Amino acid sequence: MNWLNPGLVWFAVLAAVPVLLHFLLRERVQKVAFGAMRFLRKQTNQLLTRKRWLEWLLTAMRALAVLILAFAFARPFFADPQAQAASGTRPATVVVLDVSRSMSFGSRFKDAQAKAEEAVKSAGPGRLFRVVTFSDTGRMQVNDVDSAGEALGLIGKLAPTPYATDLLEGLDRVFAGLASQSAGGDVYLISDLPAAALAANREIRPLPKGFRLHVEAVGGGEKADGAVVTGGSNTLETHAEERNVQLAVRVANYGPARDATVKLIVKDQALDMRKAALPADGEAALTLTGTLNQVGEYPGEVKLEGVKPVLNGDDTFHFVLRVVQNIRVAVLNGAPSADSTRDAAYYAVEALNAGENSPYRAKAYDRLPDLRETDVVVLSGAHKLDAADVKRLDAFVKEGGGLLVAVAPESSPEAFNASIGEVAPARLRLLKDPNASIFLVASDLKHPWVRGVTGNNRGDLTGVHVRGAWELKDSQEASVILRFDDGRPALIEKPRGKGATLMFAACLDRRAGDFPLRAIYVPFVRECLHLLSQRAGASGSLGLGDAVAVNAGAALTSPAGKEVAAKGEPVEVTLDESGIYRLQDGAHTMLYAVNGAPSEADLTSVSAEDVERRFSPAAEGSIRQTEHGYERVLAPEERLKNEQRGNIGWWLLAAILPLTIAELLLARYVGKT
Amino acid sequence: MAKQPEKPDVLDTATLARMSNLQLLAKTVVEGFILGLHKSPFRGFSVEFAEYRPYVPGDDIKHIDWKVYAKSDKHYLKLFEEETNLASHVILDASGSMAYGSGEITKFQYAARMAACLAYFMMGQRDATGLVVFDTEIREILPPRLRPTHLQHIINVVQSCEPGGETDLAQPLHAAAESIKKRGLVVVISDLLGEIDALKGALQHLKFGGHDVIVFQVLDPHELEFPFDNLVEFTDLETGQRLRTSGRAAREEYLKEFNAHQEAVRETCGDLKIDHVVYDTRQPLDMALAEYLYRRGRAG
Repeated sequence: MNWLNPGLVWFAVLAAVPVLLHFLLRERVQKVAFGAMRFLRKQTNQLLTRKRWLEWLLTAMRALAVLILAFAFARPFFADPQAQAASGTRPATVVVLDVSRSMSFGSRFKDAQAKAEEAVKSAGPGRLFRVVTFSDTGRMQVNDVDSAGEALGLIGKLAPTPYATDLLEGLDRVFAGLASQSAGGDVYLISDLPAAALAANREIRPLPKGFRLHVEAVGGGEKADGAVVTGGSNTLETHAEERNVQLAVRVANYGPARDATVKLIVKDQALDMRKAALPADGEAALTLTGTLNQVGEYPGEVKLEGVKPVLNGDDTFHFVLRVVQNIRVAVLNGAPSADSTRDAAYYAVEALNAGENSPYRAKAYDRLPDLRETDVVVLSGAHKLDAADVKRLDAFVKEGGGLLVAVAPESSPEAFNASIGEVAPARLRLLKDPNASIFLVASDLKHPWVRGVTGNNRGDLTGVHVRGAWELKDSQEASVILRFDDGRPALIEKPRGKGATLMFAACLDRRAGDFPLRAIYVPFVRECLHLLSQRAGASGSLGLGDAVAVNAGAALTSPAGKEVAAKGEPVEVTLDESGIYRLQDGAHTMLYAVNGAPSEADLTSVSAEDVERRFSPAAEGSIRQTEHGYERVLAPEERLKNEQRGNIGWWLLAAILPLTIAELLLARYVGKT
Repeated sequence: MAKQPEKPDVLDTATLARMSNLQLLAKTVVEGFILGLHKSPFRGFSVEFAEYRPYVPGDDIKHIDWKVYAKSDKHYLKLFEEETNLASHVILDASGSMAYGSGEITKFQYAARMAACLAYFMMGQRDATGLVVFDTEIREILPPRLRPTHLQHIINVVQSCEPGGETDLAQPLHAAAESIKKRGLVVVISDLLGEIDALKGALQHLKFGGHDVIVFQVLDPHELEFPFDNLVEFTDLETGQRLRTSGRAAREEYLKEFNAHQEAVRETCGDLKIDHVVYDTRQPLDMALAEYLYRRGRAG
């Protein structure tokens, strides 16, 4: 057992006070020669013996209470037994080697290996050795060996990885792992010490007691000379009506000012080429454009020419371009009618299909169709759905589909909420007055939907009013795009899985009044569909070190042609090559563009002394700034103790209360005897 | 005006406790007691002249001394010392339990003073007074006499007695009942801390002898109240047996037993039409004298 406040353990001697008091104030036996003994014949000497025992018990309880108080404030804790078992009595030499992508620059990694070997060789006899490699978050390997020869063998086999650097995370984990090493030792951090990786104002745990940190910088005098190109996104999507590709590109230059050529290459064809004037140690931004006539998915890249890359691969930015012919919209007609003024889907379908180059291909259905050929579903005045349809719709949205729900005034809240309400962004509460007209007001003027409807004078929401406005409920997680003029949400948006859902708290046909006849109606509906289709099938940007889940039966092919197939069960594959990964899952093919972290190209480093100073324990009692404010610097032991406050001190304090109650009851009983 | 001398507080037990001469004590108590009486009822018209007093209307004219009238032309009544044939017996318990005393005076000392006072008073009233001292058996027995030296004899016996031995009320009281032939007043002074059945039998024996019996039960305040709180080692005054216990814990049981015993004593005395008076050794002795006078008046 250890103590957080060992000095207070001495207060345990105060437990002797109740014992002393017991002896000093012990009740003396009064001797009485008595005449009426015959009335005491039922009394026995056992009573006195019992009283003596009870008094001793009371004394013991009081002494125990003092002991518990002393121990509780001394804060005892039990050290982790596994850590104790693992901790040796031999000092350790810990080599922490940076294997991030930046270490592949020049001779940095060889220098790092040499320094690591030197550190191992300089270790005294009888040492344990730990070789730790780290790069980005969570990517760390620890090897414990008993001899210097084994450690040198391990170091010799190491190689840089394509991953980014997270030096703070690596050090934090190393220090955490050393907490159980009671014998102390030396920690050698060997890295290029990138300034970007150390820039974060993140607090890490202190170096454990008994260890000394040695920081060995490699490549500190080197200066990068080259450029790196990056794009805004690695997956682009365009529609048939917008076949001109626009790609924003950023080129970071390390070194003197110079010119470079930037090419947009899609499917091995150069679509665009621009000259870029790169400022000295600065950046240049430019936009590349091209035209694609074919629907499909295109792997592409932005190639930088005329200037060498800082690190291998920095001259290429990979992306995937997806071109679709139309956005396929299935409009579920809640009130089919030959009379267009009574049909729930008529106006929405017309608004979407209007125009020769409309990107939308909308079709009205009486029942929910097969959704495999559908990008967005519009529930136009649908009252309810079968459970199976709800399930299909839910899966559709979660897989990346879009859903727009418009509510008819005749809908029953109970039926609607029990079926469509399961997938809609909100549920229905009540419809106060079906005939009351109410105006629409934009809630968030910066929202893409609002900008899409009202931007460039495309439409004006002023004066637009609808009838049959529902009051919604359970919409806490949705964001409000439009409100009615009484403040109730009118159009809300909520992501669901990979897809997105929109809900209009009124209908999209003539039951909403003359809203479908207003000029704003077409951009209103189209922008809803545009918003939903942007989400459909979108994938996030991927970087080196990210992981992709490969389902059973699917296969992932790397840019170099290496295939990883998941046969029995799903596997997770770490992406460790820059380029285009191809995931074949049955008939479905997905392309992933993977790029390295551009920050690795920034070779600016900090000095070893600065790093040593930063991670050496600060003076105790000094005040330092953290991301949460200011705090007092604690001694390493104190910090460690603070971490170990899951101790039994609080339990001891909690035990005082029942002990005190028991003592009071017993004292009262003894007092009566 | 000269301050009237205060009536001596001869009834204070603390004072009495410091007086070792029983005869002096008895004299002090009894005379002090008589001084407190406004009218002495003990001047009778018997055979032995006592004094004259002026005639007052209502007095029987047959007691007028006509010779004095002839000489002085005043009416005087001739008073005589009353002479009775009442035999009084004081039976004093000298068992070991009587040796207990929580204060300045033990139960036996109190009882001895009470016996001396009663004897003094009885003798002063021309009652023949006897004494029986007992513990497990009769230790001393003095038959009733009216001789002036008899009082000194009684006091000497009482003074020489030391309490000891176990209390056995039956055997000595039976023996006393056998030995007292002439009917009279029997005063039993004891703590009565014995078996109730034995006591009942003995008192019954005395009553059957035709005696008027008074029981003066002398108890110590601590026996009445059992004020012990701490740990106490009790030693039985009669048997020497020891008991260690907590006073607080034992009090309830003790008082329950004690009160039951007292109730049984009261019932026994009530059944036998015996006057039972409980004396706390803190109480003044004149209570005993007053009680005696009441009984004496009834018996005479």
